[in-house]
Amino acid sequence: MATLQKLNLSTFLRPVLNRKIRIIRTIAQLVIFGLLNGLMFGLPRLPILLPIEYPTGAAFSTVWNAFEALQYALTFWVFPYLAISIFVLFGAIFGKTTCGWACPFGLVQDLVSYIPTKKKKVSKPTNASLGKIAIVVAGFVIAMAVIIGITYNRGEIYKLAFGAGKDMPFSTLDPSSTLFASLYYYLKWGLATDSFGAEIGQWKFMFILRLIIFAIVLILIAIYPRAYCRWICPTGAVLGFFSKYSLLGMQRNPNRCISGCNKCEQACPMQVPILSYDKNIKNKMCTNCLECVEACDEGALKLTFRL
Amino acid sequence: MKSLVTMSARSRINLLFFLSIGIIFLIIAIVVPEQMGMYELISDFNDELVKDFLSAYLNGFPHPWL
Repeated sequence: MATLQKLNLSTFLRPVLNRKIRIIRTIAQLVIFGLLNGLMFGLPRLPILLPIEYPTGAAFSTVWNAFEALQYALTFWVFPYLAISIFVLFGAIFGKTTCGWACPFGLVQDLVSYIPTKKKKVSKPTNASLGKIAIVVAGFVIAMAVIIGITYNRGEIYKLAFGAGKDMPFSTLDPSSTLFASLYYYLKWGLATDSFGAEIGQWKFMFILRLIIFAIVLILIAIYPRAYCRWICPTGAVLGFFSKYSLLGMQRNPNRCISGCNKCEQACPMQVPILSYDKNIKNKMCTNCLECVEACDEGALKLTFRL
Repeated sequence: MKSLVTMSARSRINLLFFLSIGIIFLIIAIVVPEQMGMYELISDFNDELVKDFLSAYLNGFPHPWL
């Protein structure tokens, strides 16, 4: 009874009050996820591209994934003006803010990171080196799409030889596409039959490969927060190229950062070396998630338009 | 007077260059009929297109459309 009397409301709510920005960001992510699935609420599908990891093949998707649109245009030998303009404009104006606030697969990663398991970090040089994998993935996918487009230009029948990846090579194995499209349709159509479960022998190699890749990514993001964003995501890699020069970005005031407590770097899920920047944090991994702002007791960090 | 400039000249030039490219490409994408036509076509992504896409992964099951 005495223990209960000592426990006041502010103490009880402290974990929540200390995470106001994270709560706001999670709510924003959920609202945007709802809008991205607006077809289930009667919203129309729009020819809008967003630089997020959400498959166009998702059942209720209202917008297009810009990286899928880029691949799709290239495989049909059409110059992807709209996709490129979306990447350039979003990256140059907002940086990778869509990664931190709008991307559904980013939301999945954040929700997985809230599970109270031991999280690991890699060293800063390792983090930077692993980030180059995403650039290689993006470059390889774009090169594949161009090759398929050249083949299509010679004759549509030749393009069919590329099989499942003929229109969007990355979506063939993309874990976001596996989660939000393939698994959804598999369950939806499977549960509508009497023999759900008996079909496992009918799975093709590509479906098994997708599931394996998805499982590996799931384990990775459970151990290393936002590992897919940092090290694999090609959308983030392309955006990151422009985000270093973005209008909207994080700024550090070294005059306020007097204790050198390192709380900002400890809080950052992308392991950005914040303290190595004097003023503008121009790092291609920063998603403007504001975890560092929330962690800093001295108010040395802020999100601002820097021109 | 405290300077409000926080971006170096080189960064600003890069930013303006990227914004220009983005706006020009956006205008081309909207004005050229073939460009916007392709994206409007994809806006009508329907069950048939999804089945075609997913049939590469599933053989035999599920085939509720048969």
